[in-house]
Amino acid sequence: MVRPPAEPIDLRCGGHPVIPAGDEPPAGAVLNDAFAAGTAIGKRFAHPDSGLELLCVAGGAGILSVGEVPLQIKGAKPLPSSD
Amino acid sequence: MNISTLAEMAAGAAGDRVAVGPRVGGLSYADLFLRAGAMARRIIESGAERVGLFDVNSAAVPITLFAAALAGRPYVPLSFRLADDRLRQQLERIAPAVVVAGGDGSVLDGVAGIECWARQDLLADLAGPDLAVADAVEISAGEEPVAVLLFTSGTTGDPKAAVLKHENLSAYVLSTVEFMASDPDEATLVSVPAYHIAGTSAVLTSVYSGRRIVYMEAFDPAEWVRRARDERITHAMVVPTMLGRILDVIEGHGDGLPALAHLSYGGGRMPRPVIERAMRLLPTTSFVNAYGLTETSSTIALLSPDDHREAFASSDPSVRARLSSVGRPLSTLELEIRDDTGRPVPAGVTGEIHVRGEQVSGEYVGRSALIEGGWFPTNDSGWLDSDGYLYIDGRLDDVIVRGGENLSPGEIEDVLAAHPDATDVAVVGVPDQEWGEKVVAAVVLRAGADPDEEGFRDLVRKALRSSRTPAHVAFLDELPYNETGKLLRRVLKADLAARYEK
Repeated sequence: MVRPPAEPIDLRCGGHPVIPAGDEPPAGAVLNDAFAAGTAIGKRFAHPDSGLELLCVAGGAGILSVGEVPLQIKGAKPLPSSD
Repeated sequence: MNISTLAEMAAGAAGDRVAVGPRVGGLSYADLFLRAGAMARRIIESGAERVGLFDVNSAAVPITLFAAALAGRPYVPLSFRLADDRLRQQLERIAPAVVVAGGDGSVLDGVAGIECWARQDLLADLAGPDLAVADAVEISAGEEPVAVLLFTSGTTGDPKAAVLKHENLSAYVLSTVEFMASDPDEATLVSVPAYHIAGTSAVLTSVYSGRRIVYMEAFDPAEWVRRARDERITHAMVVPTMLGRILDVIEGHGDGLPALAHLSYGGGRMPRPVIERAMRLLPTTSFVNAYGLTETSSTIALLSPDDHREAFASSDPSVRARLSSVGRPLSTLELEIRDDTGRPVPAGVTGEIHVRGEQVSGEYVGRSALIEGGWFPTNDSGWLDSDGYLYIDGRLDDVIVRGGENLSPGEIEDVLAAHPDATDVAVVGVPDQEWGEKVVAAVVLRAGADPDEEGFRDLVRKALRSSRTPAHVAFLDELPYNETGKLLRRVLKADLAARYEK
C-alpha cells in the first residue's frame, strides 16, 4: 500500500475481500472468473474516490477491485535516468 | 512503503539478473535481498539503533541500505574523508550503532556505543554456506519512518543531519521509474560516494529499474573511461568537474564511448562550454541535467535529452541558453520562485526556489525546515523562463550585495565561462568599504593562454551592466572543490578577500 484510503473501503482481489499478508485464505475460496485477468508485479493502482494507492509487489491471477469496480492502473511517468 | 520492498520486488521478478558487479560473477537480485535479510537479522540482534557505513563504494552499500530498511533502522552513510574530530562528532550522534567500515575499522575505535563491522568479514560472512533462506527473510521492518540520515556538507557549527523517510524515497522511485524497465544489458557506473544523496538514489532507482550497478571506489578519469569501455556501461552520473576530466581522456584516446547511451550530470553548475564539448565528443550519448538537493530525495528538475538536442541545434539564443538551465520541474511536484516577502514572482524574476511534494522531506534531525503549506525553501536562488525552464543562480548566501543591488554570481559566471581561454570560473563578493561588497572573479585559464584581465572585464561589461563587472580578476591554477564536486565558495571567498579586500 503506497497510500491508505481516507476511510475503510471494500477492497477485493480476484473477486474476494483482501486479507492481511501472511493470513490463511478462507477455506474454499475460488478465483472469480470475472476478476481473473491477472495483475503484474510493479503495476500501480489508484482509487481516486478514497485516495487509495496500491503497488503490486507480487503478481498473480486475480485483479483488484473496490466492490465490483476494477481499480484503474495508474500511469507511470518514467523519466530519463538522473541518478 | 518501506524501501526494502523495492529490492524484494526485484528479487521476486528477476532474481537471476545481476544487481551489482561484473556481468559474470556479480551479485544477483536474489542474492542481494538474501544478504540484506541476513544482515538485517544481525542488526536487530546487535541492539543497534542506527546503521552507519564508513567506506568506499562496494556491494556492501546496497546490502547495508536494504538491510537497515528491513531491520527498521535508519541507514547513515558517513564521509570517509572526514577529519577525525568531525567523524567522532557524527559517530556520537548516531550511537548506539553498528558501522560497516573498510579496512580494519580501527579509526572508529573508542567511541561509546559504536560497534564496527569490517566490510570484508561481513561480506564473507553473509555469503557463507550457512546462510539458510529461513535465516534471511520474513523480517518485519516495524514502524520506523526514517530510511536514511545524511549529514550535510556545512563547514561550520554542529553537523546537521537531513532526514529522508521511506515515504519520501519510495515516492521518488515509484513516480519516476518503471519497474524492471531496463534492458538486461544495461549497466550504470556509480562513482559518487555513498554519503552523497545520489549514492542512495542510484541504488534505489537502479534496483527498481533492473539496471546493473558497477561501482568505482573513487573517481579517476582514466579509470572511469576504462571501466565504461570494459563493462559496456550504458548509463552514468557525474558531477560537472568529473565531466571535463573524462572528456580530456576521451579526446586523448579518440575512440569515444559508443555503448554509453545515457549520461546524467548534476550536483553543481555545468559550464556551457563543457557540456557543448561533451555533446560534440559523444554524439550518440543522451544527456540529462538533474537538479536536486539532499532534502528533496534527489532530482526535482531535469533537462531532458531532447531539450539538450534542441538547444544544441538551435540558433535562437534563448533556446540555446537552455543548456545553462536545469530544465523543467518534475510533474510530480510543485515548484515556485518567491521574493523575500514570500510572494511568488513572475517568469524572468529571480527569487528563492520553493518546492513541495511527496519526495520532499525538508526535515533535519530535531527540526523541520518546511514552512506554511508544506513548502520547502531550498535556500537556492533562481528563476523560471517563460517556457518553464529553471535557471539556478546559486545559494542565497552567495548573492553579492553591491551598493544595495543584489547580484547573482551565476549570471556573471555564465558570461565569463564563454571566454574561449577560460576552463573554469567563479565569482564571489569581497568586502569593500565603498560598495559593501565588490565583484571579484577567479578564472582558470587554458594552458598557455594570456591572463587578459581587461578582456574578461570587457566581456561582462558588454553582456551585463557595469555594476556586474568584476573589480578584479584573479587567475588561479585551479578552483577549490570538495570531493563531491561542489565549489567551496567560502574557501575561495576567503582567499580572494585576503588579496583584494579594502
